[in-house]
Amino acid sequence: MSFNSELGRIPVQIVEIDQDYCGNAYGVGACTALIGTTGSIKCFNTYKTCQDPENFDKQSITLRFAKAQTDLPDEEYLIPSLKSVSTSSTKLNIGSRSGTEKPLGKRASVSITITDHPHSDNFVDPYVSERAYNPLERGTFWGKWLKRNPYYNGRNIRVLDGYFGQTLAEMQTRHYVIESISLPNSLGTVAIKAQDILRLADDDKAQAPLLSNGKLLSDITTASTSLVITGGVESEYNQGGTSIIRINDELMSYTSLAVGVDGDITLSGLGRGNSGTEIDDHDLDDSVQGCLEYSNIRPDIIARDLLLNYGNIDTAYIDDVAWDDEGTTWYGSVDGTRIISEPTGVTELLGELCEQYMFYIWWNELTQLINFKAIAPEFTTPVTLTEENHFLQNKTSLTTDADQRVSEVWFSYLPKTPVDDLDKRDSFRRTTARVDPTASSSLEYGERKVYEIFSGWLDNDTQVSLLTGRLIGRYRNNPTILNFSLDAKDRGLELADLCDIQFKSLVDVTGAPETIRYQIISKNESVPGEVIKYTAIKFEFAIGFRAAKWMVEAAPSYATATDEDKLNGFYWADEEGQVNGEDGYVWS
Amino acid sequence: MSIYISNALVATPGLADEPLTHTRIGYNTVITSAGLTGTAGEANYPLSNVLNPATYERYKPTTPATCTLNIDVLSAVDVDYVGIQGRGITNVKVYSSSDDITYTQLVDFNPTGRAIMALFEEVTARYYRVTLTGSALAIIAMKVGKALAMQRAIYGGHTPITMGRTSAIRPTMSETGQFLGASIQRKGLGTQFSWGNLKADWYRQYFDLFVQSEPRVNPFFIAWRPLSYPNEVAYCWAAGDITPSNTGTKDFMSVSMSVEGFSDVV
Repeated sequence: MSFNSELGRIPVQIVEIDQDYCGNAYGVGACTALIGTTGSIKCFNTYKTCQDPENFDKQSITLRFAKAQTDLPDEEYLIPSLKSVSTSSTKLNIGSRSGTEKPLGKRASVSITITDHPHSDNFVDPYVSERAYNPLERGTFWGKWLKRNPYYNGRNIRVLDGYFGQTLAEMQTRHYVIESISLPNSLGTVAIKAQDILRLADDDKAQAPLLSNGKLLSDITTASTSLVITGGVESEYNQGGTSIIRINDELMSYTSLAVGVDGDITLSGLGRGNSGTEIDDHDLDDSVQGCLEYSNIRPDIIARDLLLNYGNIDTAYIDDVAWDDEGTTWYGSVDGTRIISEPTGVTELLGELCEQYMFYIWWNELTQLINFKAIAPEFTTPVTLTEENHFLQNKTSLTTDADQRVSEVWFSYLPKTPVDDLDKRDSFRRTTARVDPTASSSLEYGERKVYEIFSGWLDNDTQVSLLTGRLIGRYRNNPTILNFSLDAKDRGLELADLCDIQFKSLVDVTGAPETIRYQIISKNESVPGEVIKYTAIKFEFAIGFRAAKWMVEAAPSYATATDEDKLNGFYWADEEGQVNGEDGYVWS
Repeated sequence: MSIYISNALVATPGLADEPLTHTRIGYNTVITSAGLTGTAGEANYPLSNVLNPATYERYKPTTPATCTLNIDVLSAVDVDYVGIQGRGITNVKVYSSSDDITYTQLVDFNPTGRAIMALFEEVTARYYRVTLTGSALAIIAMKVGKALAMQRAIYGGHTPITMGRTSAIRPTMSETGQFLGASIQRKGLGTQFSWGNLKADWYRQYFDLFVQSEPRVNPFFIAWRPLSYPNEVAYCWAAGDITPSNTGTKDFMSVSMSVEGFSDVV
């Protein structure tokens, strides 16, 4: 039996903060600090108090705060001053369809309250025994800490939820980065706010392409085949290997780039009026912006490139193998093409990709990875949750999100030029509509619900047809949202997981219980170590279709196939639409 | 929890200020940071933590099986108790000395609990030494001084603090009433001490000093009935202000205090 399913389990919650800490000792070795010369007292091994910043050897120590309770692990130095931890989990915006959510969904965040108190300076001051004062009689922990460590933004903070008896390594750990730490208020508490790593890719922090700083050194005419840029750097003009620039509303390609001794950049072999833009004269000091081009690139690869090269995300946060596996499986013959001619928010671009290629990405606080998943049929049999054995009392509710329903998809694609505003229909060469007239008829929902998409990415009629068909299939009916809570014994259910639900409100037309499949879009440990609150959306990949995998050549015949083979495999129906008396799969 | 009462005290009741059936409160201490030396502590768990009232700040000697703490009070003072809240302690020895050369053993006993109080006949000396043996030794708090001996005993209606276990349990039930699990929110010790018929002069001379020591922020050792229940010792702090009331014509005072105790299960 694991700790989380033990009766009498004792929840333990710990907050860890990684504090920058110099690896040198004061005045020893590389450190040239000297009392009386560089300072009147020794430093605190932090950058702010450093007396030899050039030799600051940035390493880290981990501060740990726990709730004031008897049963705490004894393996580390724990300060029992933690008052509360309030987490707001990631909420998936599947396919970026929910207009009330940000394109990448709601970010995971955490608010932490810690009680301030006198402190011995043990652990945080390596020279505490040499001080001429008693630290317990001087200030409080956080007043001193914030003075010594003002540069905490972006540092790692973790929330550990476990049980007494577990080691720290065995506890469930959620990862965030620090946004802010308040000074102690009049009640003697400190508030810490932290968010998930995807905040680094927010539009105000990350754009693609990066802004170019160069300007034209002199006027150019419509006949010019070369130009000189001053004030810029080479890397601004070959972003992502793209040899296209934008001046005003004209795009130009170039064949060679040369940097002069004065730093000016000469572009030669100009291809004027690139991508349908109008050739024009341009003046001295006009800004020259480097563009970013993706040409027939799989959408998961584009998304990964945006995150890693423009979204400030470290490679350690993306599992290349998992992304590639998902991309190869579902986007093997799908690609995107686009020239982005001015700095555009990375989150905005990712939201477009999620919407137009039907996938979603999210920060997994537990694995410390950014996950990528296509909206696709599921072939595994998920766990079944029942009101008898799983749902906590009086915590379950079902709602309908009518805003997400769709009866028509209008899809505009193939922009006339990359410099046009891509949020109006006349900027595109084609608009196609996919309509489900039955859904909007008076016999069903009785109203049209138009979902309009402007795409700068898709340029292929087949892909557009496939996408619009999938969108209608996925969103034809009002999605139902299920909110429920589980005991910690069932905390293994994760974001994006599927689950089969049996609940008294879910019945067929005769009133008989019906098992409905849902997908988890939000998970929040509302009572640490005890209660986990979930939100799930009804999972429908397509209405009236059964998805199947193309089976291997050596697959068994229907007569000898296992139930799993039959569930996941693809047995073509005979002329009567029957396989061994059962419904066969529909070829679509 | 464990108490040691010297043979002399038991054999000669008159040696103690009050009978050993009366509560002993160890709140004052003669240990100062300047006068404390001994076995060095591990990194982040220095010897100075012995004086730190925060219970998460511990002293862990670098030699985990034995340690010695030397106390120099700078002048001779009266001492009749040693209180220790620790871990892994299997033997306690206490000595006193007038010259820091020749030491007289006052205590030698093997405690059975983690809150330890040693009561012995009062000695007057400048130097004291405490030697602990055991395994993975840790001291959460230690006091050496003169215990407050209550003027009256506690009789019926009292919950010994070691039995005043408090806890908050939260069960979880399914929609249909199945028992899914239960968590222990917190555990601790707590009780209330009450004394009546305390002579007003005595209260003002002795107990009020204890109240002035701010027992809400300066934890203390307490043994509610040392002779009868030597295992019922705790390291506590007051849960509220302590205010007496005059009981009337005979110039007696009564006082009560709620306390919470340190509970250490590791």
